[in-house]
Amino acid sequence: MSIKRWMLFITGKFTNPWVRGILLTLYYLAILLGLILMYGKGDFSTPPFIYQGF
Amino acid sequence: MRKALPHLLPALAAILILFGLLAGGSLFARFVELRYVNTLAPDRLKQTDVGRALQEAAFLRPDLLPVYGSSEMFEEDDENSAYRFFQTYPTGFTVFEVAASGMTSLEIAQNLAALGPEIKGKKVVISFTPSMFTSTTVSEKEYSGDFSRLHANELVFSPYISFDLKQHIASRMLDYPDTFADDPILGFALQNLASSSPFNLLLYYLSVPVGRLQVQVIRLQDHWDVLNWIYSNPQALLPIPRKTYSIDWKAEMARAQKMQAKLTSNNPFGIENNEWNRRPYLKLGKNINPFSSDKNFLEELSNSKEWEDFDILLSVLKEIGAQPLFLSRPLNGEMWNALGVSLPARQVFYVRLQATVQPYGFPLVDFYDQDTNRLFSVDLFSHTSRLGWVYVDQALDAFYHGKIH
Repeated sequence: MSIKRWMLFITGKFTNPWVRGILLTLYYLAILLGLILMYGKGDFSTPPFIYQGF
Repeated sequence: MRKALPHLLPALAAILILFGLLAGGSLFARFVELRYVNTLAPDRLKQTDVGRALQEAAFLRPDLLPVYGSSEMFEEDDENSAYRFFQTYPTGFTVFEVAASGMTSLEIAQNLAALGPEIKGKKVVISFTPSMFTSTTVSEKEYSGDFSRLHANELVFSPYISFDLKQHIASRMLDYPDTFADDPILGFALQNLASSSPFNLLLYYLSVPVGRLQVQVIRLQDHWDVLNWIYSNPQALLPIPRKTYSIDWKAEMARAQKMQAKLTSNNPFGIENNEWNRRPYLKLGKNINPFSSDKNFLEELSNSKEWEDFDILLSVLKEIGAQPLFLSRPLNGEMWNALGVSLPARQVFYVRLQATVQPYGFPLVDFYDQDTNRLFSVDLFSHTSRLGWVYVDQALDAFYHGKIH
């Protein structure tokens, strides 16, 4: 199958509302997961402790 | 609208799936934490102190006794230190220590408030030394060294702590503004919570939903850090073999006393010989008048902010409904004598400590009778010697088995 026919096949499928909905859901989910991976890391570090004796 | 829906519905679906994944991940994390918390107990992970997940898991395990404290829990690490003494569960339990140098009552209060109803009816030990009360205040640098953003948020937005108590705690937390400088939601809530004006209180209540959301986010980050550590350190997850036996406390005490006397034979203060040789300034106390420093000591003791924070901690435990044991250490009487602080002055501390705890009805073990036992502590800050540890271990064992209540 040529590239052109692949493109037609995929765009044809994308007009199907169910396929389009699922792909868009996955797309948005990937964006949200990407954002969590980039900015979701917690910072539990504390400044260096200065000892007072207890 | 028709055109918008094809995007809106998948976006909503993606958000729902994400929430499902996070909820499932959280449940999975709890399962893993509960599975490994016994193995992790002796490791003293930083995440244990600043997080919540492992502490929550520890309270769910009946064979773990959570102990919150400060450097006295680990400064003198020998075979009698609680986590080593009980590591094979000789009488059916071991300790789960949440301890960091300089951990104050205010921070322990935040820590326990963060657990809320998880510790209702559960046994917990609060370990501390008199040295917390012999300095007027804790500086911001010291406080921030043990500060946990998660615990602070949990407390400020907690539905389980009374409003009056939260307001009191908020006013103390405001003394350390650097700790919430990078957390605008926490800072906003604290400022408004501590105020008595109705408008500020309204602003505080408006911030609560956002605050609760922030708490959930930090909890997830806490779970992530714990899971990350667990899966990055498989070698640390080997279970410790258990060995049940009856402890002969008299024999343990005699053995520890003999060893400690041998290790501290060149000075009258219970300081280990090599340390005494290394730090000759400690000998300066020789010619001091026995009562000369009483006034300073009593002033410091009287003005210490720690009393207020200690009372906050007692109130938090009372409101949550935990079953705590307050486990103090004795002052190192021989050293304080040499520094000019007399026994009558030191007794002021013991009396005030008992008077502070007594109204709450919680058990207190302060080892008052060991004040002049030079072998109990190894320094002025009442860090526990190997002999002192046997006394402490015996108290922990008795508390776990319901002999102290």
